[in-house]
Amino acid sequence: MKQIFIQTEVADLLGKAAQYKKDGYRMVQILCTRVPEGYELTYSFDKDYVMENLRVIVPLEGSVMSVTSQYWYAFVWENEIHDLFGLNVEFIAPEVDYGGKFFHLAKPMPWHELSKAQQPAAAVKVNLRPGLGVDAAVKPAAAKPGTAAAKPAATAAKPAEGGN
Amino acid sequence: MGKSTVVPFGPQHPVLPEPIHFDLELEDEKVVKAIPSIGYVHRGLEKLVEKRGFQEYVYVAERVCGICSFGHGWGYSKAIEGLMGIEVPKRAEYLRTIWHEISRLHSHLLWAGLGADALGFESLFMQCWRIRETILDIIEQTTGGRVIFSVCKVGGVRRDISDNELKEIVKRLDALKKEIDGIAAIFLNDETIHARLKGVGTVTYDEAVALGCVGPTARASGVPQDYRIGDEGGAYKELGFTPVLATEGDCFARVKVRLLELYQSLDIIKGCVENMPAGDIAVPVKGFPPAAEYFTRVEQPRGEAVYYVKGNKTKNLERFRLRTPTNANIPVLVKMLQGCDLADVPNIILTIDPCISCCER
Repeated sequence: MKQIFIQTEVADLLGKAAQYKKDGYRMVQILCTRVPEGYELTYSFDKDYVMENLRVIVPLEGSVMSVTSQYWYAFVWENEIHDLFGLNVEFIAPEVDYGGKFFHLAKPMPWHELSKAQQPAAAVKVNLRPGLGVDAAVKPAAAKPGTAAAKPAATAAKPAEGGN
Repeated sequence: MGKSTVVPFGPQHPVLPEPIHFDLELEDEKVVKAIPSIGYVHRGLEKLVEKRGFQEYVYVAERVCGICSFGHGWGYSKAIEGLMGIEVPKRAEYLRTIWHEISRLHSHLLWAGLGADALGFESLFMQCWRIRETILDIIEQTTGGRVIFSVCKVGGVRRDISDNELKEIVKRLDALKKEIDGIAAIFLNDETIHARLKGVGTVTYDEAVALGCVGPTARASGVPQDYRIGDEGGAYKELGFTPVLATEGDCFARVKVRLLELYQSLDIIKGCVENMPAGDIAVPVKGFPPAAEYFTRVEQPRGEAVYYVKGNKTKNLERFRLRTPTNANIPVLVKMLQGCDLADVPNIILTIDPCISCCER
């Protein structure tokens, strides 16, 4: 399947959605992902089995305009994004704006926190001796004979059993 | 103007196999407004992708739904294959198509039984589910499971079906066709069913397009939208495919489309068996998904499902998203319910074949 991603700004989103509607595209879905910068929203539109994806980044404290004025049925995804992620979606069509009551959840906004998988890879921590360069990173101290760390890892050396 | 009342419908209701709630605003017996709400079976399965290995997650994806489980496993695998640039052997694609169409038969027959029960046709309900047993037996024979198949994996399938077994399956499906004729005759010709379903919950072509509905619900309103046409996976392109359509857009049209799709699925399976290529059923998968993203789609029994995966060079994915057909069909359901009689609400809800577990993931 051809992958088409088009980066856009929050301010241009509604205009672009209107253009897609005018061109006869069907809205397929809205995807929200928590990223370090805030929320990454992907609006997918389909025509003749080719899908185009509009991508916007919304800052953590920011909000986004609802596209229900163009695609009324987007209320399902916009309410879901609000309830699961806590992103403020403004001006959802009034008859379908649930104000946080679309999903019955035990914990509010369960996907709001950035998970470990979504965080940027942690920088490798290098333990330096004062006054020396990066090349002089401290090696772990050799374990003294007789201590637990010096004993051979018997279980690790054992060949794996079972499986295929 | 009649008396205005709000009647809560669901989450527990005799016709609802899964929980969804509607606040029905009535004027006398007419529904003026229907307000749906969900969240009773939200399990956070998309989030689990961060804690399960990308190959292991196929089992979780299958458990999104008990009826279209194979399709979810296939959709997820297809997305990972696209992300990692894996080319699946042709035989595996044909086997996947067979299992997917068997799933459709299973799903549509289950739904036909529930529909018959809601209409008060208890014998018909039992006949539909009796016929469905043949399908479940074929699933058990070829995969080892009856509901969760666990045969689809990233890079292909886990099990092969021998040529003799395939011929045997075709024979059993030929016998099943006659049984389907029997139930289809009742659904399509019975006066009571006509009276309950014709002209009820009508969605025009324009409304179906404007409300973005998918699957048999859209096709019953004449929208020729079936992702099996555009599918780059499976055997559909090679076998040729034309969607089943109706134009009336009412509850009866949705029943008709699903019944005709039963015959279509039987033909697709037969076509796959006749043209089954020889060769491997899987390719080895090496490494982890790259830091990239991929969208793919599968035409599930209830309609188009969209799968998205985002890798980050580790064994865990960063994001998995599934937009299910019921998720796309809730808005059209709201429109169908406006102006209907309270007594027709259960039938209208059932004719979109809602799957709430899928919808909430």
